[in-house]
Amino acid sequence: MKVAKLSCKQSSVLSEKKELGSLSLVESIKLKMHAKMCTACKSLSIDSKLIDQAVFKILEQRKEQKMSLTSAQREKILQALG
Amino acid sequence: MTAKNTTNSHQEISKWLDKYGDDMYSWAYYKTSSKETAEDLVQDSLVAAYKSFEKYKPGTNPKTWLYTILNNKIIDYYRSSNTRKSINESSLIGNSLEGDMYDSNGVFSKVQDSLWGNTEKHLLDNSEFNEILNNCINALPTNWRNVILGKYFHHKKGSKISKDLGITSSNMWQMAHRAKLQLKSCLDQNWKDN
Repeated sequence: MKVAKLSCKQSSVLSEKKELGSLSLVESIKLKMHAKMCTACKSLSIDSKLIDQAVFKILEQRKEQKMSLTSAQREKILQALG
Repeated sequence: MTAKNTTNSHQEISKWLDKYGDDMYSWAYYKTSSKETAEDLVQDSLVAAYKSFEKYKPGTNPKTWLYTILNNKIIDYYRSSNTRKSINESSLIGNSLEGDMYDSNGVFSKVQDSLWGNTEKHLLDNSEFNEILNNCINALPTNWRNVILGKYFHHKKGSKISKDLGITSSNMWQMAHRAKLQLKSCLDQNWKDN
């Protein structure tokens, strides 16, 4: 599964690099060539996109989540004031 | 501070804790994905507010002032999550994680099946799945989790994430990659309905 001198591991790291916005032309070509020929990487890539979507959705929901400090936590904070 | 001022500021901070404490706690949790850290950040912020109480301008909104302090504490926290100790700890986890998945040439050592096939949309609405992933996110090593949070908060702008965390770009890609593997592995182990 070592295609275009890129290993699966390097390909996965490059996928993250691509997502974070900075892939060179050569890296981009290598990644595409590897992805075309590596079925295992394709599966990981599908999962990776889905995990990203799901994580974003969870974090978005947390924005609305109301949390409450317990009375013990409040007491601890007040004690820390000295 | 005089004894009288100290009493006044103590009372005032105590009042603010009652009024804004839960909101601050919710915000800090949203920004860090850790309840313990969120509690510490609220505490540190209120202690800082107490110590520099004379800087508060009476008549202005105390919540704004407290949130400025809290947000600065959150930035400090992101920075400090990349200490040598946490990097060493997460490196150990990362090496063993990659050791399980890849051979010495960086090639997948076993067939990688996709977790979900064509069920994506259904899965994103599955509350049990979301609960498991929620726990998986919270269980990530702190510095990896902060990269994942950075991706979300900065809309995947890598330069902003690495600046926030005080790490190099290549470190960030590596951490993002390892965090992803860890989340997949956590889901593989805990999500049974596939």
